Amino acid sequence: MPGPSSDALPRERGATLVLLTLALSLVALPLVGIAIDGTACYLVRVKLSQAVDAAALGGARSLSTGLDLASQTGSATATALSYLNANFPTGLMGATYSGTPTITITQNSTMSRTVLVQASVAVPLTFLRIAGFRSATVSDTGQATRRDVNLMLVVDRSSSMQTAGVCPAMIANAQAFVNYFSDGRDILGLITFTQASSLDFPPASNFKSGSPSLTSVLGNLQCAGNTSSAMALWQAYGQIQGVNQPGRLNVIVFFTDGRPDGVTATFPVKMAKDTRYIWSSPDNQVSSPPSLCPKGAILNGVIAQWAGDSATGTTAGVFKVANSGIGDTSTLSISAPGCTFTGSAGQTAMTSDVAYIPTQDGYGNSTTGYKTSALFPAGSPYAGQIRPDTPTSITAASTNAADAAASRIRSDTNFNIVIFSLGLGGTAAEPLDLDFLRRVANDPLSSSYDPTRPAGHFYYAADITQLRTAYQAVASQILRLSQ
Amino acid sequence: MRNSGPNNPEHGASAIEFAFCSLVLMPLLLGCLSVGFNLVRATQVAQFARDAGHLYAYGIDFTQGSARQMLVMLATGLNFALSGGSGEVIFSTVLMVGPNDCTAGGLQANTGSCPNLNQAVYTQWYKAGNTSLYTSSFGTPTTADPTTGIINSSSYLRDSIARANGVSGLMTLSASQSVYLTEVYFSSSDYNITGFLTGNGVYARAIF
Repeated sequence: MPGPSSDALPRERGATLVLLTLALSLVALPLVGIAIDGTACYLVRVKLSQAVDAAALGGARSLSTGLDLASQTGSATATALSYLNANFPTGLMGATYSGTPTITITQNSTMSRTVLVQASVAVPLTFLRIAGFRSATVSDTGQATRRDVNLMLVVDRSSSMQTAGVCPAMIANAQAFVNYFSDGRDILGLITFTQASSLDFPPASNFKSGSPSLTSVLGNLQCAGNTSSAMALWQAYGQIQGVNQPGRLNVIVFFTDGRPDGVTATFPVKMAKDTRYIWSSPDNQVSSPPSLCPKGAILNGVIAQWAGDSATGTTAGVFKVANSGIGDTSTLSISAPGCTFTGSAGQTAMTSDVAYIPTQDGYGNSTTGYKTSALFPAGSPYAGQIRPDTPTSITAASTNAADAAASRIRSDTNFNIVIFSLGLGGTAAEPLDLDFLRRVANDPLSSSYDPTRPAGHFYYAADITQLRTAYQAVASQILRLSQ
Repeated sequence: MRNSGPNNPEHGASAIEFAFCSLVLMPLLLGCLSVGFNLVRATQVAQFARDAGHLYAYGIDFTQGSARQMLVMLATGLNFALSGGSGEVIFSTVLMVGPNDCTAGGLQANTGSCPNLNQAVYTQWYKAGNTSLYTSSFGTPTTADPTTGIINSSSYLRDSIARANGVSGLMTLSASQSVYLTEVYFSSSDYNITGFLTGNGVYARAIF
């Protein structure tokens, strides 16, 4: 049998090379090219998506800059562009913007403003260029909505901050916090409290542009007195009710540097002789005669304690439930002619005139529940009632009232008020009650977290140098909720 | 019939041709695979940076254990772990110090009293994941609290180490404006099949 033709062999030489080249150039490389170009386009899409999201969020946040709507819109537009370019600079992976990104800010009657950012980029193709596709267009849209905010800032200006020397810095931080909000759209008000609270800046939308402005009012703040947290919270709630805008994000920001130690109530007059601690020697219990208050006397005011966390020590009252405002450092007692405490800086009140702390404060908040108060023992004419003559029972009753006030405020499903609490410092002698502050905010970490009610958050600043960051975090949370 | 026996002098020619082709084509193919894999990883890392940055800007505290678990879930497929692993995230809040910030820190609003006035500074800075993988080009504020990442105003208003160098070059910041910067780095040395890649990792950042 003849062998294969020797002429045929040279024609088959290099066939594998040709076949492989054809297969790779016509099938494999285009497929790989499509995959790589497609992935590159997808990567650009992810980056662009991030950029438009950041631009929309940043723009919405900066709607607070400016004193009128036009300047706020201008600020938001500029800021949005800045975020867009920071996250997606021209030339990223060779991509360039197709046209100018559009930033649209609209406002509607439902008390919100929307920032819409649209951008398109042309992505140069590498492998598909061979097939005539030089570039691909990638587009994305980001949108953020900012709901207007009604915010009551509740600021503790008790004497402990004066003692620590942090009062001026606290004021400056509160002023910086105010600037996060939008004049003309958001509504802000201010309540400060010592043993009494005061409405120092009624809720208003011109809190920056008005005269006086909220920041200038804050500049008059003086630190003195005790900590009547429940009264201040309840007053803030009343202001939000007064504004009466359930469609807005209603917020209370509660700032304090200590434990509540003031109880507001109508206190029963001590009509019976009993045994209790006396003001001149507060560590000892002695026989105490009935009050000298005239029949029908009404002890409506605030009682407080000046002994920190000590089991026994100085108590005081009955202070007026109102003061003359943010610069008032007085601790005036109520007028109660004939009663022993009048004219004695109030330090005799719990010995001589106040029978006990009622189970509800002057605003209907329970003074029992969360913290255990010392009660008068069996055999006392006031057996089972909360003692007013020990610092710890006043602190407990005050804490319970504030805890109950916060809970009741949150239970108003019309306004759905979110409370943020902010705690500063604390000392070894009188540490901050972190759980209490978490409970006030309904922080998920609190011992009474209720997921069916608006959840706020507690922020802690160990000292004044961390307060700016804490306020900033509060602002961030509020603006997050409003977006 | 064609002689395909061992005595045929052309026996193995195809194999030799394939070998010659492979000298060129296999590196090309592997290079394509390497680039492709890294593009996929870059996409994943960019997506992760975006998601983590978004959450950070929304106030999620990634110093907390539960939030860090969220990071692990967000980085599914990227070998991100609470410690070790192939990835690292740096969360930071950058503030452009304005006069009000100096005053709030108890300082006067001038560079003598408040040296970082008009500088971009970190007010919070912390890492998550394999924290030895990457060093931020914007600076490492060693005064950050190791647990919370918070930097005291006495440091960020005064210390040069607290400055976030280069952030002002990314975007214009107004006085007292804060931005949330999230940097993500993942090692990709496992994808450097051909040794062509110049870097050893994929980096992405998000600014919210």
